This record gives sequence, structure tokens and C-alpha cells, in this order.
Amino acid sequence: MSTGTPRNPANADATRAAADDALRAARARRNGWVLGLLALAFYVGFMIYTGIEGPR
Amino acid sequence: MSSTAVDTHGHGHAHDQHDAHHGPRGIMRWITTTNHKEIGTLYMCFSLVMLFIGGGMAMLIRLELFQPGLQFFNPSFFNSMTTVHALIMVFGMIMPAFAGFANWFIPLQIGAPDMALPRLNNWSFWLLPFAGIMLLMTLFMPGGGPAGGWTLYPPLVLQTGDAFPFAMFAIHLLGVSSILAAINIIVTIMNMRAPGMTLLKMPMFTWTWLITAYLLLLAMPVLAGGVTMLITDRFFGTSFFSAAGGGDPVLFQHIFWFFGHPEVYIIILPAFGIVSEIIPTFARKPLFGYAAMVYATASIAFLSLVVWAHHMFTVGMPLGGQLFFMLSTMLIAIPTGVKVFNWTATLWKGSLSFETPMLYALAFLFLFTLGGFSGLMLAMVPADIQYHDTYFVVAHFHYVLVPGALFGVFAGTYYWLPKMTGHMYDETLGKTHFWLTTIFVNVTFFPQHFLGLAGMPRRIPDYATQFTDFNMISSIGAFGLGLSQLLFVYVIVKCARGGPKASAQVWEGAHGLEWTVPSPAPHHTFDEPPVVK
Amino acid sequence: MKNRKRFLPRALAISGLASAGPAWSDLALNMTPGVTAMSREIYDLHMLTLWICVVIGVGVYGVMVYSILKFRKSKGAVPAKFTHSYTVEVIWTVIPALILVLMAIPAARTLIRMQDTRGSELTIKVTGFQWRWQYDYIDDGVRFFSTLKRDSNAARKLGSGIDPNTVEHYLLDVDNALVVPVNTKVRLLVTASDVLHAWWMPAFGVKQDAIPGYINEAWFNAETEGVYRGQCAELCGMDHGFMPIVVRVTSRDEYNTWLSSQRTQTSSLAQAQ
Repeated sequence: MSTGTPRNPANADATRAAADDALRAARARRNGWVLGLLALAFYVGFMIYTGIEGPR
Repeated sequence: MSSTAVDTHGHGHAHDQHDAHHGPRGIMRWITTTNHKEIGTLYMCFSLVMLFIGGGMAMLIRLELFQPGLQFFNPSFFNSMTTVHALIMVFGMIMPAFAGFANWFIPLQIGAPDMALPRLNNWSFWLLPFAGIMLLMTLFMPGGGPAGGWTLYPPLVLQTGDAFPFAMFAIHLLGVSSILAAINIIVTIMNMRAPGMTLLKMPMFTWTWLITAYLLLLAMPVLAGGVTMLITDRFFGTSFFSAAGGGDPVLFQHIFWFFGHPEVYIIILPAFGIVSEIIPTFARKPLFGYAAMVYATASIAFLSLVVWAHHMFTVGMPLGGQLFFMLSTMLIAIPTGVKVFNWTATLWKGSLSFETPMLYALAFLFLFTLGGFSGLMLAMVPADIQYHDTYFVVAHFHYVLVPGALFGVFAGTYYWLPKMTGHMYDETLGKTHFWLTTIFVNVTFFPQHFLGLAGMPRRIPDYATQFTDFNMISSIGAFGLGLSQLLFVYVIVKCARGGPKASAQVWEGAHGLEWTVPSPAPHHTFDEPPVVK
Repeated sequence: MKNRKRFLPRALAISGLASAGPAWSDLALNMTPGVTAMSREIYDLHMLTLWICVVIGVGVYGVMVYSILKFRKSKGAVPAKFTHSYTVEVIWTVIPALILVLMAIPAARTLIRMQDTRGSELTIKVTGFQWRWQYDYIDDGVRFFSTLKRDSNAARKLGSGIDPNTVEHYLLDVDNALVVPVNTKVRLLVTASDVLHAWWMPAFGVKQDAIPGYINEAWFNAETEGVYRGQCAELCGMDHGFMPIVVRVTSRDEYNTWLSSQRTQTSSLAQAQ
């Protein structure tokens, strides 16, 4: 990426990684969402499991 | 292989380095930053502040324990000090410090221009100060801070006063921050590696963090679940953990330690990684058995998920359970032993020099191994019945956390400080800091083994008079240890403000991508990915 | 604050530890073997593990120290080129595994005996309260509370001005001790009424968590008459450090006399209510 590209200063750092390889960035975001949702599912699922199956 | 051959022609420092910062100035620069190096710096500064807050609490604890009788604090305040000291040190100091190193050096080590999710990165840091402040605020609330121990065991934790929801929310926030950081690190390592940087070429620090991040992703949601259930038990009439309502107090202990045991490896694995970087550098010899080190780390992480109940041998588990958890715990000694032996073999027939990072790495090697030995002793269930909840345990886990994890942080700081600031730190002061810290760590924690074996329970503000002498020694050590850290701050500040110019490679024996960029590392690095051969 | 006076001699004793024999005498460095077969077994296991660790430690630390002294750049050491060796890596995976097996066998044996509560001659229910213990001799209808003794309780208050060194058995004495006969297998049923506690008697090798809603079992068979002291071992709130455990092991006869006197007390208390 060349320095000549006009950038939104506030997002300069955020966009430069992305602009470098849009495809790779999209994949990274997708992976991020998958992992985040996994963690969330683990959190909620674990509580539900404990509520139903937990020792009484 | 961890040492990598690098084609430096592709990403020239010869042409533009993107060194200029384009965003807002002043405080807004730091609040809005999405640059991995700036966020790394933020993490580390936060961690340093927390080191002193948590350390101050430790010194108050040792002050009260200096002699028998209550001289300074009432027992409730003492208990909230032990509780908050632990929470601050674990969640506010050690984990952010390693997250800071991860932010700074994972992109540099794998040849990525930044973390994969820069805005998320900003958020995962900025949750921390608020969580930290909320946790500290609880100390000033009616009923005092949380005083049920960092393990948050119900029913005691439910007796906390107004501080309860704030402390629980702070722990939730800290957990969210860790999970987001873990996601970012996994995604970065999996997607952003430079061409040719295959998984088994990654430096050990990156490897240990990849494994740590997966552990975080597995363990943290479980803690969050337990904490949420505590909240609903207290405020919404559920009785997950209340025996009177048909619940089970021991269930929480299982939940907590299912998080808690992986957590201790979350804390120590990045330190393993840092030490695995430093020892080869100063032995001028590649890490012995790189592949074995990676597999040992992965085995430790896997085993850490199936040993949790060794923290609970006295709760009245069935025989089969006790046997299983004893054996699985003893198994961890094997991969841990492999790591220690491999580090030692890296030293063997090397060409050693003893700069401050190496001194800390070697002290880590000696003293972490000592903590490992007491850990092995604790694994034996019948003996654990005697050790459990005594100062022997306190000595054990401080040996793995202070000369283990904290020395990892110190070693990493001295090792990478020239890369971060562009200046060499003051070697004499660094060595002075090392010797003071190492001596006082042992003065503080070694006598605690004796106290525990002689029968002093942990978490007591006052003790029977036969424990006086070792408590005095331990307190003197703790004050020395705390004060020595002022020198650490001075060394960092002095290094940040100036000093001899550091070269790109900094250390004669250093290998890896982070040593190919100039010192200080420019604001933007690896805009064009390097080619790893 | 009064015991500041004692600080100087103590500090001197500490600094002179290596030379001064008497200073060591009141410093306990190791676990005590205790007075039950179980506690001695635990002690032996502890010493076995300790010595194994010492032997391994001497080896590992020896190699580390040797490397540090021998392979110094300042002494002109030239780094070797080797990066791995499957042979030694297999060796140092297998040998620790064998040592672990050797350690696990006696540990498992002791553990199995520890869990065997059969054949007990006396059953006592132990209930943890914030912050005292209740002992219930369920077959004999005797029940009483055991609380920190008054003089300790006065001295331990913040700013009490009482030097703990002047209090006999500071923090380790109670008003009503648990009394058991010697050479008798005593089964404990341990529970709690409010929060978690843990009943710990080091000399017997017994530590059992007291958990509301649970009745945990533990047992001991004390072989020597005497008074034994322990403490609550699970954080149970403000006064966790102030709920000691005292067990008086007496002869059969003395125990029977004590039991009948307690019975009359308990029944007269019951009538009064």
C-alpha cells in the first residue's frame, strides 16, 4: 500500500490492514465472528445445561 | 524451526516507513488508537499501574501479618485485601501485561501489518480501565469490598455487601476483554502470517499465545456463566448454588476451577513463550527441540482442562474422582518436565551471556521449577489433605506466579524494551533490579513453605505465636520486593526518555522478524509482507 | 503494639539463624508425623515426594548451574549447532513417567485407606457455623458448641493492647474441646449451617470441608493421649481465623466420666428450655 492513498485519518490504522488484502480481512472478520459466537454459545449453553442437568 | 531466514528486500526501510502518525493528537490519540503497538503500550502501562496497586495491597497484607495480633486492619478489610489483591494481580496485571506483549510482538513476529481486528483491539483494551476502576471502587462501598476470596465461593460471596454486583460486573467486563483479545489473537495468527510463515515456523511466543488464546476462549465463558449464576442467585431468586433451595455449593467450585485451572496456564504459557525466545538468544543457539516444545505446550493446555478438581480434594469427592484428578495432575509434570529439560538443553554447549533478560529467564527456570516441584507434591491427594488451604499452597502458587509469570513479564520487558523505545536500558540498573527482586522473592515466599507445613492456614489476618518468625521474615521480604519495583519503573522511564541507540537486531543472538525492523519499531511495519524462506 | 519490645530479640534471632542453635528450636520447618497411623502415612508420603523432588532437583539444577558456569561467552564458549535429539527427548519423557507411576502407587494406597470409614466405634457430627464449631455425639445425645477461648478473643481485637505472646495457646484454644477416647476409630460427619468451613486437625491427618447441604465423612484413630490443636481451613468470612479446633484424646475411663457429666448438663439444659 502506498502512502499516496487518501485515508480517513481517524480510521487510518484500521483501514490500512484491510485495504491491503480485502479478502483476507473479510475472512479474518468472519473467523472473529465465528469464535465470538462460539464463546457466547458456550457461555449461554453452559448455563442452560447447568440449569437443566446440574446436580441437585 | 523457530529461527527464520528473512528476505528484507521486499519491505524496505529504504523507502517510506509510514512512521508518521495520522490520527488525532493528545489523549484522543490513545483513546481512538487502533495501532497494535500503541494498544500494546496501553496494555503494558495499565498493567504496570495495576502491579503497584496489587502490590500495595500485598504489602498491607504483609504489614498486618508482620506480628501476631491485629495491629492495623480489621479482619474484613484484611479479607478484602487478599481477595482484591488476587483479582487485580491475575486479571489486571499479569493478563494485560502478556496481552500487551501479544499486541506488540505477534504482528511483528509473523510479519503482519497489524492485528486482524484493530477496532476490536481498541475496545478490548478500553474495557480494562473501567473494569479495574469498578473493582477498586468496591473497596469504598458500604459493607466493604468483596472479601470471600478470589475464588468467589458461594455461599460466602453472597454475603458481600453493596459491592457484590459491582465486583461481579467488573469480573464480567474483565472476562469480555480477555475473550475479545483472545479472538483477535487467534484470528491474527491464523490469517495474517507473512508468506512462508508456516505454523511450525512461528516463534515460540506466538505459539504459546495461540494456545493460550484457545484456552481463554474455552475457560472464560465458563467463569462468566458461574458469575452470572451467582448474580441470579443473589438477585433473581434462583438457587444454583444454595443448598436450601435444592442447589449445590460444590457445583460452583467445579465451575470456578474448570475456569481456574486453565487460567493458571493462561497466565504461565505466554511466560513460557517469552523464556523460549530469550534463552536461545542469549545462548546463541537455537531452541532445543522446537517441535517438542510446541507439542508439550499443547499437551499442557489440553491436560489443564481435565485436572480442575485437584483444587477441591477436601470437598468429599468419591474415591474414583480423587484418583482420576490425582493422576491427570501428575501427568502434567511430564510435558512441563519436557519444557524445563529442553530449556536446559538449549543452555547446554551454548555461548551464554548474562544481560538482564537472560538473568530473569534463568531465574524463571530455577524458581518456576521449584514451584513445579511443590505442585507435584500437592498433586498427591493424601498429602494434599494436609497442604490444602495452608501457606504451603500460598508459597507454591506464588512461586509459579511471581518468579514464574511475573519474571516472564520482567524478562520480556527488558528483552523488547530496546525494540519498543529505540534505546538500550541501563544494564547496571536492570541487573540491580534483578538481584534485588530475586533475593526478596525468595525471602518472601520460601519461608511460607515452612509456615504451611507447620500448620498455618491461609487467608487468616492473625496467627498463633509459633508462626511469628517466618511471618516476620516473609513480611520483610515483601516490603523489599515491593520497594525494588520502583527501580523497575525508573529503568523503564529512563529508557523511554533516552539512552544509547539500539540497533535493529539489538541482541547479538536475536533471530526472527521483529529484529529486522528498525528500533524503535516504526508506527507501521510490514505494509508489504516480508517473505519468510 | 506492646510486643514491639519483642521485635529486636526476634530480629536478632532471625539474623543469627545459621549459627544460633536455640533460635531454630522453636521454628517448625516440616510437617509433623502426627498421632494416627493415617497421619504418619501421609507424613511418609510427603517425605517420599520431597526426597524424590530433591533428587530430581539436584540433577536438573546441577546441569543448569554447570551450563551457566561452563558455557559462558566470556570464557570463549562457541555455540554448538544441534537443535534436537529424539533419543534424549524420549528418555526424558519416559523416565519422569516411570517416577510418577512409582509415586502414584503409594499415594493411591493411602488414599484408599483414607476413604475407608467402615468399623467406626464412635460417630460425631461436626457442624461449622460462622464462627464456631458444634459437636454432636449422635449416639449419646451430647451436643455442644466450641468457641474461641475468651482470653484469645480479647487479645485478638484490633488495638486490644494485649500481647498475644502472653496468652496461652493464642488463637488455638477453645472453651469446650472435642473429647474422644484413645485408640478408637472415630467417624466424623462434617457439615455446615451457613457457609463453607473446613475441619482440620493436622496431628490426625484429617481435613474435611464442611459444606451446607452435604454430610462429608472423615475418620481418625488417635493413638496417643493429649490435646491437639487445629483451625478452620476454608475461608468462612470475617472471623475465619478465629474458630480453632481442639481435640482432647483421653483414656476410655476418663472419656466415659466426661460423657456422663456432659449428658447431665445437656439434659438439664433441655429441661430448662
